[in-house]
Amino acid sequence: MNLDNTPCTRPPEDWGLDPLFWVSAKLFIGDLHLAIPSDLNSVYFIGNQHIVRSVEIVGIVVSVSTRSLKLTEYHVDDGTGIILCAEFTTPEEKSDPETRYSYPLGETVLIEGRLSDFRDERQIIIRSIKSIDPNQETLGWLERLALRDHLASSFI
Amino acid sequence: MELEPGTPVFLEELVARPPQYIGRTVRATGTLHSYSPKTDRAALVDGQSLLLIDTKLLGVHQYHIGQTYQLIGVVVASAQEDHEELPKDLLEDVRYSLDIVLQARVVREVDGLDMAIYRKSVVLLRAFLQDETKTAITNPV
Repeated sequence: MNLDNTPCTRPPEDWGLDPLFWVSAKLFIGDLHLAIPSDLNSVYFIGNQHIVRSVEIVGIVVSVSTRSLKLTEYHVDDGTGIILCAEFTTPEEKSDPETRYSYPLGETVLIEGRLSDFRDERQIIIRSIKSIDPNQETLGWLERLALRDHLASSFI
Repeated sequence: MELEPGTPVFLEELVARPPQYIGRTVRATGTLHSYSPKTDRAALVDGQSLLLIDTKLLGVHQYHIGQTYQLIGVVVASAQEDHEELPKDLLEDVRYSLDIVLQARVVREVDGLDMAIYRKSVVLLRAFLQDETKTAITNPV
């Protein structure tokens, strides 16, 4: 999974020049674990000086935890790695726990969210999560393989 | 949580070199040929290969014979009683291994999965990851 991750040498005010800074980067979970954290909160370096904040992953839910009232924790496996994804409950779900929905084990999901580190564990704070077709997971792999070439070239 | 990711593998690879996979977490895909709730054993078939599955960890799940399933779990050494669970009607037509059982912890139905494209994608993914590993070994930072 070696992308030769390199921190960006440009000052933070120039980071917006990288298109990946503004989008949810489609990455493998294995790559997410190797991204280098920057000094700024929830900003990471990946590939050749690329900057990512938000990511999109596809994978299978291999663990669900609803012990906490505030959030639902999923572990998602895409074949290259497993990552913790945390979904905060809405105020409506907190007031009425019956309305709280969690995706079951084995569900194929597409998750978009902010990459972060919490208690030395890399995780995604879920912005959106939805169920997808197994064929969309295969398509997701192919998209991420194709996009990795872009990560090797610098935006500078 | 110390879960390992399930590496996608094909059944023919598992039955061809079973000791290589013992202890590894894999993702196997195939059609359900038979299931025994009494012994928690299922038989998964893909082409000419058959793999025995231990479904004890999957809990209550409705299985449909003939549907395609994908399972993530650890490959473990099989016990003597597992040999009795192999479907007798198929043994002459398929390749199977008496040495391993997949102890599944996650199952999902994947009816409708385009197996041809899935196989090509897995091969591409492996080739790419292998190339990167070789690059890392030959060009260490």
